Amino acid sequence: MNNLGIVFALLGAAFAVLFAGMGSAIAVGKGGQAAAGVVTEDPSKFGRVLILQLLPGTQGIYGLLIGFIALNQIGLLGGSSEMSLAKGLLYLAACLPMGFVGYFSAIAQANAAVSAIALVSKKPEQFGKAMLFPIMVETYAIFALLISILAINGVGPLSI
Amino acid sequence: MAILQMKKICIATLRKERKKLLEKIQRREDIQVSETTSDDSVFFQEDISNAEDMFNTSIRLSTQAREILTKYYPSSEIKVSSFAGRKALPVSEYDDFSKKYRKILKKAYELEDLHEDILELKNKILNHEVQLETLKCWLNFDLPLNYKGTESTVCFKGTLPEKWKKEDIISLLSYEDGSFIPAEVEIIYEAERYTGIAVFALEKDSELVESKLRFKEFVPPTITSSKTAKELKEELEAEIKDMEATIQENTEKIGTYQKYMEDFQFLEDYDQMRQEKYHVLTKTLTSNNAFILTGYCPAKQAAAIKEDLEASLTCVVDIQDVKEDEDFPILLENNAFAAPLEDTVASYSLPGKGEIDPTFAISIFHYVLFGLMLSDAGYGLLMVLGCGFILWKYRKTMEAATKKNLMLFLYCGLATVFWGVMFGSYFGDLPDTIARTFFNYDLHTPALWFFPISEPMRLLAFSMIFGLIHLFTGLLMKAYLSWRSKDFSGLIYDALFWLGLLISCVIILINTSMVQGIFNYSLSLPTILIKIAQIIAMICAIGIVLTNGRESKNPAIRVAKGAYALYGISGWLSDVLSYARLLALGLATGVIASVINLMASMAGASGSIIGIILFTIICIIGHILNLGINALGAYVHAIRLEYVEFFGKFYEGGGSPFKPFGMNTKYYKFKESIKNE
Repeated sequence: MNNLGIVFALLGAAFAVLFAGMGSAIAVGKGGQAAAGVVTEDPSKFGRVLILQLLPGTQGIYGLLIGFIALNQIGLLGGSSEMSLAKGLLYLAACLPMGFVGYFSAIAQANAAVSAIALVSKKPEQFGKAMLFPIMVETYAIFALLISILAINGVGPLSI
Repeated sequence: MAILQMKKICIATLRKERKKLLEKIQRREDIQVSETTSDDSVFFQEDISNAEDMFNTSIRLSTQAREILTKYYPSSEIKVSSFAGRKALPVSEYDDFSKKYRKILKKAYELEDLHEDILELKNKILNHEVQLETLKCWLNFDLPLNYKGTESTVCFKGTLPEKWKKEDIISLLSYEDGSFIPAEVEIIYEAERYTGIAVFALEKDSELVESKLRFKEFVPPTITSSKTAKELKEELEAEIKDMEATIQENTEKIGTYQKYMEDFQFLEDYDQMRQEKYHVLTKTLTSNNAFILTGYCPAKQAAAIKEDLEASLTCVVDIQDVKEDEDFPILLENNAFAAPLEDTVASYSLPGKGEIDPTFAISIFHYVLFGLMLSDAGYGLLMVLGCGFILWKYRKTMEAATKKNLMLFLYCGLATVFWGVMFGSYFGDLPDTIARTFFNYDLHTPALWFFPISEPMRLLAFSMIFGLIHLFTGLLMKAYLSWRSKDFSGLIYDALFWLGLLISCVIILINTSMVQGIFNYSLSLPTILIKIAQIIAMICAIGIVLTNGRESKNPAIRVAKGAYALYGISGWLSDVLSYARLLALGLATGVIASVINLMASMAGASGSIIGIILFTIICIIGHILNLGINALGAYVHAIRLEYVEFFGKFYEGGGSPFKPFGMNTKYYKFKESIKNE
């Protein structure tokens, strides 16, 4: 029972990677469908729609980052794995923002990206503006990333 | 690092020389033709619809001819290597082709006919085969297929669904009172799903028998013929044999056209060029004796163009400056280091009026960003060697666009090698793995700077610092643009205030214990510096609130807009954090590479020959996959950072590209300078 701490901590890291990754995968996939449709009609737009498709992929990267930082802090990447239950739960809580926000913001960003791809297919010269729409959603993923990083780093030195 | 200055060019020549003029301009590829209109009745625009149709047909035919040849004789295909580029030919070959033109076009038509004949025959064979399939079950029926019966008897032949026994059919055919209808029943064919039968009955019972049979879903045969099934089968098979022989004949005839393959390619290119010439014609003016063409050309080529054209044709070339606020097509020119990024800029948008060419700025950052995200010396070396080899091998004939792309990856590869050495990554930890697995030796390849895996927060800090540098460069570009266009209020309010605010915020932040805790360093800046930073931040913040909404006259709205602009500082926070992806992608490459090495070492642990072979194979496949995926990711993310974070600070775009009248051919290009050897 006294090893449950590390279990919850790893659960947290896995959670962040899981949900952020799932979200990005679905999102980039959706973008890919729209992009393929545009390139069927006009292959010269390939580069632009590729970038737009890629925009929701950031959440997966952030999830990976949090997972990595968490694993590092927990000590699973070489080092001891002794941890109290409370600390393990704290780590779990610290990873939650990135997991949830990563998932939902990726899905939302996918919808914006698909619309941006449609915009570019009609008006390719408005690419710059089209790109800004999905980017707005990313702000919230970034806030979640920030808080997760701060929280994970904050839990480390605590002695509970 | 420049947008080429353009000049307006106007060429007037004799009508009879216009073809020569257009061909010359097409080969030079440095004049963009603009639309010329005229109100007077002397000049008119040519109608090209007839020629248009003719070219569409001939191009289609020549493409089709090649496809037909390739389909039947795959070895005849002349592959166009995307690296080698188009074949360069002297102009005399272009002129000579007009003699062969009719003949080659005729050959293309002939090929089309042969091919269509074959298709038609194949269809017929298919039909026959379907018929043969249906006939299969009637082969045992030795009467003609349309046999109806004799004077007093009726014959019903067809199929009943599912399997039927003779007794069951006999009992089906019964009168109301239960006695059997006199009939002769024969099972002709038994299949899984149906039974072929023949029923002979008396004339008087024909209706009854028919209704009883139909009740059980009796279906007569779909083929009728006055011959028996066997005879029909033989007839069909003979026809199929004939048709196959004809197909074979035609295929061999097609084979004799293989020698025209190159000519078909030439035809396609030849008519492609002529079609473009006719398109350009619609933009020009022709009169009874004269021909006028206007357009744009790069300023530095203007004198050479004038000399060339006036020397070889009877014409007058007039060069004028582009007016101050007139839009002209954009052509970028950069040194060899930055040139590969011109396409990246064009993908976003070419510089608009009053903007600068950002190619050089993003080139430096692009190479560094790419290198940071791929950061492996081994992968970088592969890229450098690969691109270098291809560039060297095809250096004489490579197209300019392909060359640019390869140079881009070459430079990115060099940056990757640099960062790989910095972070001590050589195909992941391959040297260590090999030493440990095969030589039982603990090698510790050093990193020139530090290992990202052991100090991720340090790399995160560096990524964010690099991000700040990138973003500040963007802001400085904006400042420069404002200064250049004498917009001094914009310079101070939009650029300098923000720079001041951000720098002072950074100074304050790096002194806080929170940030120091995250990044594991301790720093204690002198209190006076902090005080100064706080004051500057305050002044800049107030300045921003007061001035960033200055389009509005209403002071309340102005302040509100300014406050909203100040809120934009959170946008800066998110921009900086966006650079965390440098850490993530860099780590990802290294971690995946280590995993591959681990798997390979497990396979090669035995130390035997097989072990070594397995080790090598796993390493090669794994690292190539890793290189592919991460190089793509690095490339796209580097571009994304430039488009969103960097360009967003100062760049609008909106220019239209310089599209010279040239040769959009697939296989050949024609140069004046090439003499016939």
